Amino acid sequence: MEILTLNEEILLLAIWKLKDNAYGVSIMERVMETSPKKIVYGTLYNSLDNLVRKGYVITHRGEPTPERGGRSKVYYSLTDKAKLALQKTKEFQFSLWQNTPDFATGINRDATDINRDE
Amino acid sequence: MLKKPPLIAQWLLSKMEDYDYKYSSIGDFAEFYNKLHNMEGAFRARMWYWSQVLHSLPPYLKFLIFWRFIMVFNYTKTALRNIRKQRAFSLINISGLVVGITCCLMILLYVRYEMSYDGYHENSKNIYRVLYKADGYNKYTRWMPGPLAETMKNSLPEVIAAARVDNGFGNFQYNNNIFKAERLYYADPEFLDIFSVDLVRGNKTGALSEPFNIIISKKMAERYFGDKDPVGETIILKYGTDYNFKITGVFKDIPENSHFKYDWIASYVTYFSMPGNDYLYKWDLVDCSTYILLRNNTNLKELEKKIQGIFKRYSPDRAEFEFYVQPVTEIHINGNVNFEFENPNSKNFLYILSGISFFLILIACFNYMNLATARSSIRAKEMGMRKVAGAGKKQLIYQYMGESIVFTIISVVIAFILVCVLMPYYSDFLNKDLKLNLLMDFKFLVFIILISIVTAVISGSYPAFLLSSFQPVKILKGNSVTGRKSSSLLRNILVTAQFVISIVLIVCTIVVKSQLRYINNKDLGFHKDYILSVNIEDENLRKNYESAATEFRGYTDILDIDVSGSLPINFWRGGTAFWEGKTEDDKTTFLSSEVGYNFLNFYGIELVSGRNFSKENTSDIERAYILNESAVKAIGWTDNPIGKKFGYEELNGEVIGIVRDYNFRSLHSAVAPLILNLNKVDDTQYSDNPFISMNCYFSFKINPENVQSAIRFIENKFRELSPGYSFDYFFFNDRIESLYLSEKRLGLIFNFFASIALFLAGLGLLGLTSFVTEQKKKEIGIRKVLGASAGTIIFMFTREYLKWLIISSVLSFPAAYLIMNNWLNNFAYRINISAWIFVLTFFISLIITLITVGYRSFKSAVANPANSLKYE
Repeated sequence: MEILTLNEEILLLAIWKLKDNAYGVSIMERVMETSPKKIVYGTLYNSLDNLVRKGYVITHRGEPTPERGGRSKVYYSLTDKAKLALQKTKEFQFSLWQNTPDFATGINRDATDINRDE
Repeated sequence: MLKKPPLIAQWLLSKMEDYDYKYSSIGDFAEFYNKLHNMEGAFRARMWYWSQVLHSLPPYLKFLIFWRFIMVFNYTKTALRNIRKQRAFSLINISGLVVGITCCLMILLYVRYEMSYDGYHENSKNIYRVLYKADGYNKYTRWMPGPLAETMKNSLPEVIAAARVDNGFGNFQYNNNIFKAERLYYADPEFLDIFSVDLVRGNKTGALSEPFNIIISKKMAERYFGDKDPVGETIILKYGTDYNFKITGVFKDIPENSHFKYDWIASYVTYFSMPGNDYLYKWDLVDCSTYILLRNNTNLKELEKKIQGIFKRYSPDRAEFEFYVQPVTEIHINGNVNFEFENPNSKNFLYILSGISFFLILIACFNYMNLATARSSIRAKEMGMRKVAGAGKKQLIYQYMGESIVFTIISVVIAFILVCVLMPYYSDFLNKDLKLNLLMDFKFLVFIILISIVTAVISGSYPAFLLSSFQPVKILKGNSVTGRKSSSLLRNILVTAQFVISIVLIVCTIVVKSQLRYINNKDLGFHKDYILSVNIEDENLRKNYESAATEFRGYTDILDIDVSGSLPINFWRGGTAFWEGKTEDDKTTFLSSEVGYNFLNFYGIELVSGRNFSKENTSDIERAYILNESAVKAIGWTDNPIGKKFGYEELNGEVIGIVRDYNFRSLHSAVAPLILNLNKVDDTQYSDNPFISMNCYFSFKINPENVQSAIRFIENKFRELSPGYSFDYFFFNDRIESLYLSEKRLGLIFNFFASIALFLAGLGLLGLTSFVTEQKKKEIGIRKVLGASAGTIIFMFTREYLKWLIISSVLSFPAAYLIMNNWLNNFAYRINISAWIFVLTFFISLIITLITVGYRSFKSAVANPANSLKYE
């Protein structure tokens, strides 16, 4: 079992949190709230496609709705493999971050604009 | 309220169909767009939508190209493997396509060359030639009255420039070198403004304005003057007497695709300084072509009316003719003008050729389709596997198309190489300057690519759609798919179509050949074999032809001699004729020939009544006329016509004899009323009639056993009698045959393409039967085990194809009959299309079918059934 990449982590967590309502738009919104990076649908789809190919998520089609121009939603849900991978990644991250101090102690957050990109 | 996203962006998005299919992207986008629209307004939403779409493009394209490329690679590999695995099929396929495409390319190169005539002039779109059609003629004439050019230029505002052009004859002499004046023309100075003539030496203005000015081509300058600058030199033209011409310019050689090719252009005014050419000032005699340069967008119909108006004023008896201004680019491909500078091609002929080339490609495509569908059972498993592995229908279609593209590309490359290799021979055969660099030109390459695409699409489409529609479950379970009614029906229809095309071509070939044979064997009413004629240019010899003729008479191998201004196949429009009892409104027109005393005897033309021209009657030269039977009928004399008063312009002579109708025109037209009168070669050298000084034929009837020695004798004698002149002779029957040049060529072409079409159809049949016998191997085995003989099995296979052969015959015979009957209607004397032609055609195709089908089925019929059944 491999450790997930940050992108995969973000997407999989978003899908998990959205439960039964994980489809293109909602995933996009969630990712935009949580991630510092701006992404576009093109990249989102490619990443989702990769997840499908790796067997982390499966898709199923929902009902068409009028605000979607009569198109059906494609819902995503996590597979067991994804859940195991998430757990493994979480444990790995914990062990990685254990016993680390507060790196930002003594540094003036306002002066160093780490979020300059935003 | 729902907001509609920007349409174009949505359309773009919908093109990324894989995205939409997988992720329902259009729906996602539309939903988000709506949200944004409500929250932040239309502009932001729109911007967002666009940026999303544009951002999605690059990753999508990357994805698309990557996977497509992988698949294309895979398809190509499969296609090449298939080609290698199925050698015989591939060979049949590729050779069929190669032959089809090669023929098509060659034909189109030729057609294109023929169509390119005179297109190189800068003003080619606005250059025209004035023609009219005299009543009684079925073709236009290009000979116009001399003053027409000047009058048109002065009185018609749309005519920018007008020039007269006429052939020149004679021999040139420079130092002691005498050579025939070939490609010599006389032209007005404006010729240089109308046509694109590049002077490399000398000055355009004034180059052709003085009498005895001449400009020459670079090639001639190099040949006869070497390194010397020819401008200012003097060259002698021997034509009757010697004329001194001053060279005023050298022009760049003109391209070979010109409807008249000139190496020498002398100023037209020279004519007026030669004796006997007064007629050129007159309206009522005609001798030159008139070319005009028009303003852009001139209304030609109106111009023709205006020209008619000019004639009404100056030459009323021609006012009712049909006038036509002919675009210069049309001259070479429009064969309906009499006495063209150079044998023109006919548009219809070119269309027929292009049509045939199209059909050849079609046959080759049918072969491909046929074999591809026939092989579908072999490929069906592969298709099934691909479908199971997730290939969509579209991908299978792509694959099949890809395969036909591979085939086409291989064939096109081979065909292209073949064309390059064959080009020199082809140019030689056609006697045309088709250059190889024509192949390198852009339009032609585009055309090749177009042909490839069309071929690939036609031949790939049906197999692609057929095979991609198979149900994978059925295929993989082992159900046969080739037995499907529709696909085997289609195969048979394709075979039938191939046969229809081949059969039509065969019928055409046979009909053209039999008509040609009929023409050859038809009694034209005069002798034509072993007659050698020489056109005399030496004026001294013309004047003294009597004494010259006696020089030849003694030789044993020369049986008879005639000296005439025309051959039995030459004729002119006779002027207005008058006769006893002619009514005012009688519009009968006559053609006329000027002949010698011995003409009728020499050519064996039968005199029905009256007498021949005679030297004893000195008045014969001015007053005697011999008519043919058609002329008598046209005039309507019921009593004895001999001794009736007759004449041109005035009733100055009488009819002394009637000859049986002979075919002085080609067999395309019926015998017309003809007047024969004596030529006036000897007494008035330059009479009012321009034609007399044009031609003087010495004709010899020679002993068939000693043709060579007779020719040698005649040649030596002529060299002796007119030293310095070249000796050009021709055989009279060659001249007659040249009347049917285009028919001969048509016969040759049909013959060639019928063979090719038959070859392709046979190839397709061969492939198909080898496939079917392969398919029915087990059936054959079982039949043989149960006691069937090889003959029965062969019959079983051939029966099927015979059925289709009969159907295609039934379909193609009426079509061929209609086409050829139409063609034969061009002839006044023609064969009837009889049943044997169709029987013969049927047997030819039957034999081909039997050979190909029989050969293949024989091989499997005699095979040991144990081999085919051992796996059961």
